[in-house]
Amino acid sequence: MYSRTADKVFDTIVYAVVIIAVLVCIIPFLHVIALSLSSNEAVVAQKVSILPIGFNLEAYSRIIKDATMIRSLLLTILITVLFTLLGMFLTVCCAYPLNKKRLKGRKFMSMICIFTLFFSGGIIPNYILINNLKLLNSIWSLILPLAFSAYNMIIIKNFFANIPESLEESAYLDGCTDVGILVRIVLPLSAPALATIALFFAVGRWNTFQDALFYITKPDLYPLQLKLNLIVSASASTESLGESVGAAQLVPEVLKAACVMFATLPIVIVYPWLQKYFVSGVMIGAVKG
Amino acid sequence: MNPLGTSSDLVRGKPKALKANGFLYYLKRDFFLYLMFFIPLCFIFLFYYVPMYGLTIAFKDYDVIRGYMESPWIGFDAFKEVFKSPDFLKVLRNTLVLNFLDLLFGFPAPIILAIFLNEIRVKWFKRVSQTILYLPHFLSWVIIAGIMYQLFSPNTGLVNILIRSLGGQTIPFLTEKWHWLFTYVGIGVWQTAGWGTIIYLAAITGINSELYEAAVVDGAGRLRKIWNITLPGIRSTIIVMLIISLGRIMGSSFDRPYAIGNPIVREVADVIATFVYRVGIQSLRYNTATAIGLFQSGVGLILVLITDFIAIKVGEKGIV
Amino acid sequence: MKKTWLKAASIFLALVFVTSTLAACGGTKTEETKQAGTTPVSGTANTQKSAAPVEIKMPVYDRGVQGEPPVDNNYWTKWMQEKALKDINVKVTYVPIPRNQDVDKFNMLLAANEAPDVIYSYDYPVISSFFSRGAFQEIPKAMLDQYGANLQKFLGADLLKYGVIDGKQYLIPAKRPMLGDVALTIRQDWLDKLGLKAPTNTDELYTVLKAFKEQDPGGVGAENVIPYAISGFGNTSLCVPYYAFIPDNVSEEEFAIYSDLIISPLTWEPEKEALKYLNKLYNEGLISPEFALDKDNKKAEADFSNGKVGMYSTRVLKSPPVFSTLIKNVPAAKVQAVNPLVKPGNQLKGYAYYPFGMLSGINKNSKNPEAVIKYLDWMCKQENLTILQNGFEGKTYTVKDGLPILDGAYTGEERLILGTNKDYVSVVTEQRDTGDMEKNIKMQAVAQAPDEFVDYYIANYKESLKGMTTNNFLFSKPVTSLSKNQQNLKAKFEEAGTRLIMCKPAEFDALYDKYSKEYLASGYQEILDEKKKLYNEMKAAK
Repeated sequence: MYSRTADKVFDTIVYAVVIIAVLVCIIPFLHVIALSLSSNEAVVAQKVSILPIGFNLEAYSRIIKDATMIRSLLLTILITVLFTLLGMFLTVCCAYPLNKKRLKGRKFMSMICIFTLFFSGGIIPNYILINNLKLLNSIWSLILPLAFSAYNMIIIKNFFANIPESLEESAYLDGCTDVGILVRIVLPLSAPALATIALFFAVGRWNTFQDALFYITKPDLYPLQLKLNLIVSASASTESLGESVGAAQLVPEVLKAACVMFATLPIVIVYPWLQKYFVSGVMIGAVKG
Repeated sequence: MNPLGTSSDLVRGKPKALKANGFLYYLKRDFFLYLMFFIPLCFIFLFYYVPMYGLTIAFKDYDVIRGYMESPWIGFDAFKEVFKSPDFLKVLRNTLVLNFLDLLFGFPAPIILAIFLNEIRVKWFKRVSQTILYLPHFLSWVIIAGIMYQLFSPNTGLVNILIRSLGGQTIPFLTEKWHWLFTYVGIGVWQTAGWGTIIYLAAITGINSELYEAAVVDGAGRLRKIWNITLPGIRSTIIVMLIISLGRIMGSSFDRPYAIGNPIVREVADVIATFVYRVGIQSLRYNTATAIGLFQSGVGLILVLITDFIAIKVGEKGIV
Repeated sequence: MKKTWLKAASIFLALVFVTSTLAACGGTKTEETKQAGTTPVSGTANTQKSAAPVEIKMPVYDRGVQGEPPVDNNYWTKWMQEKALKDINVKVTYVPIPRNQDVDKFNMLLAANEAPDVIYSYDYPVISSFFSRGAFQEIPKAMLDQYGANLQKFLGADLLKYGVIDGKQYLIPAKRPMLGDVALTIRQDWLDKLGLKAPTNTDELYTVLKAFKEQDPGGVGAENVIPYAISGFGNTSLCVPYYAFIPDNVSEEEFAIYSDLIISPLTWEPEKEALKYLNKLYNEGLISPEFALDKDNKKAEADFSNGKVGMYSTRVLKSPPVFSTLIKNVPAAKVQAVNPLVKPGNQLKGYAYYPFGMLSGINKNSKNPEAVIKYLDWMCKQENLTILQNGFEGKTYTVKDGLPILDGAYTGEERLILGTNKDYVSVVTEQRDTGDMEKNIKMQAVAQAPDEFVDYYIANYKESLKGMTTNNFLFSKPVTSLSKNQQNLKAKFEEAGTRLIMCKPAEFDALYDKYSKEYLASGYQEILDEKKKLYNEMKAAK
């Protein structure tokens, strides 16, 4: 009886906290959506709160009507997918061996990886390297260099380490090879972790544009976030464009807000699909005692 | 090859040509594993280590026009210049203070939130909340700062207007240094907590559900279950994340302090990253920027190694 | 076992070291291949036609404006490439430079030896920084005479002087026909309501602002009135109006040393007076109470367009639509341009922009500097320039009142990039120039001002010209300590200036002394000393 009331109280606290957290997270977001749909004047006058004022689809229609934008979107999706696949592959190839205590030189190999978490050459040497590899203006300059992530690797290594050794031992005794163990036991059991890392890779790549800023100069090949970022900083630039004629310029706030939508949409779409990997209870009956 | 070794291996003087316990022996035994590691190693080598000579820019009077080879060595001059500057000591102090506060409040938040989310039974609510909680992660700091100033400005901020209409006094969220510190940290928690739950939730799903069932049989309430099963179950993940976070205590991100800071609170808001941006990058003093970065990275690495050492000593797995 | 690890570790490190150093060398080879093109044109001009075309790479800003074709490959780049090839046998390729990261991009390209033949910037300190690092090659008079006769005529000897550093021509400054910037805008309807005249000096301004605050002619509510809207410090030193307090008889030397576009002269007496003035205004509630938090000027814009502001400094442009929003919110609003920031008894003084726009230098490693001069020379030929800046009649522009008015709605392929092809012609000129200032102003007004404000734009422009009387002193050599310390000092001034304006009047003097000491210690003394030295050298050389 005691425990049931305590449970009920606890439940209430949990739901209350989560609801507050959700509200605190979504209200600013609603504000940004409202900004992206509001008229220029309302935005300049800072009158917009949660609902749009002076409904105005200009920002979105401009972005969507732009054929280069669609092209950029598809290109970015391609880059993100390739990046995520390569990243996952490298992470697993690195984490799995490092997890085996019997591997000689393990600590040293681990240090090589962890070192990269802290030290890097800097933008200019990186640029020179990419240039020397003739990867400028190639999508591979956005896929290859950052595909290995020490951070993600450490996380996966930790998850692998949580898989009981007894499982692997019994597989060996059954005649399974290293590959087999990896593919048939370790990976399926690490599905939540792998899904997490996939998410980190994908979202990280989707939202990063600093490298593209320097590696890609052909506007045809600009990934989406770079394009959006340039648009926002272009319209926010206070330097008068001399005689700028043309369709009415959009207030930067409105454009910025619309761009945020583009940044977030993928995750909102992709995440529910990834949800199914975050299923618990996969370990049932795997280990006795 | 049976990695556990055959009984004959334990005998000294192996009959085969391979030296007992020699390097080649291990290479042959675990060849596949080494091969696996070799692939990412190539990437690491090419994209991280090859450009690493860039670190030596800290010891040179570097200019892009002169080029790397032509730029003369200046030893530790850049470091000396930086550490002698009273400005640097101030930003160093600020960085540590802000990072420490972030750690104190920002580290537990996603853990607690993840545990709470896990306790939610209503599936659709759980899913929707999770997605919404991730949203702040996607807002750039420039946008967040804009919203914050609209909310928390002393005269025209909505929150302060509300407070005054309820009879209270204006709270200088953004204009008084102590208030600013807590606003800064609070916003940091807001932005990162939701996204941070992902990893802990993934860890929680890895906990054997039989343990929970057994606990129910033993009459354990929710809190007890969390304390005795969930937390220990994700302990290794928490330790790993803690080690990495401690390694970042000397690190300094640019966007948040730059966007939320303002001239009134500059003495607490100026951090290493904003300092480097002004002195190093905008003034094209690459060697200063690199020197500071080297310092930060060095401290970070040492901290990680120390923490890792401690973790292993107390029986955890560590990250190395 | 330890030994083998050590062996492995040392082999690995050795490998890293070797490859790294090789990579380091690789990036800095002075590459011959990229720049060579084919037979460089030298000597006489008649051999041109038979020789292979000379290749040059020109930078062009990429502003990332949505809806535009790629800046390095569109109708107009093709038009220029074809015509340049035909007319002067020069093959041009365009290198996009992101507008907001231009310095980084140039540095990156220089580091990899991929920089274009021309390096440019609108910013004089940036260009002098490139110069002091040895990025440019000299442009000998002989080369200019031989290949750039038209260019010299177009720019004029006076303008070209701005490109002379240390006695030699290193830069080609582009023309900037339109110098007017922005005068303060005041709510005429508020003045009318209170029966006041437009203020003409700081004392009168004070009276007017006080009246605005106490009598609230706009009816927006006493706590909401912002007589004079300002925002956090911008990118120049002019955010605090110290020009108003510079005595008429200031010596050239003092002026040269202290006045500066980038670094605020905190320790100078006129600056102190200006800060004191703003301090008084702040403490009496006459300027934006939250100006320090308004880093991007958005709050001030919002306040003005909501009708709460009496006086405000902003450009009269279509975008952001501050003025049109004002009319929407307050249909009865009337605006007038004023120049009240002058100490009673002083002459009206204001900062005058240099008459140049883009500053271009020729890359030290460029193999074909003559081709660059030829290209610039070709571009400023009237026939080319007119087409580049206007397009084709009936399509991209129509003639009204004898003036070519660009048609922004045209969507054919000949549409000018960004409406004006500005980033292509910017190397020689900033705007269209009919030769007649009135006509120029009118053209610009029609293009840039919101419809109801075309006349006001012209009035505001003219008013701003009245104040632009004083040019900053131009040193013959770049002031190196300036580039070194500028960012740090800017940040320091932000903090100091904000505090000085917001503090209580009684605390002002002590605080001012404290900040002045810190300012000098943070590099300002260095700058003052260097400027003084340079000034004396220049005087001695005369």
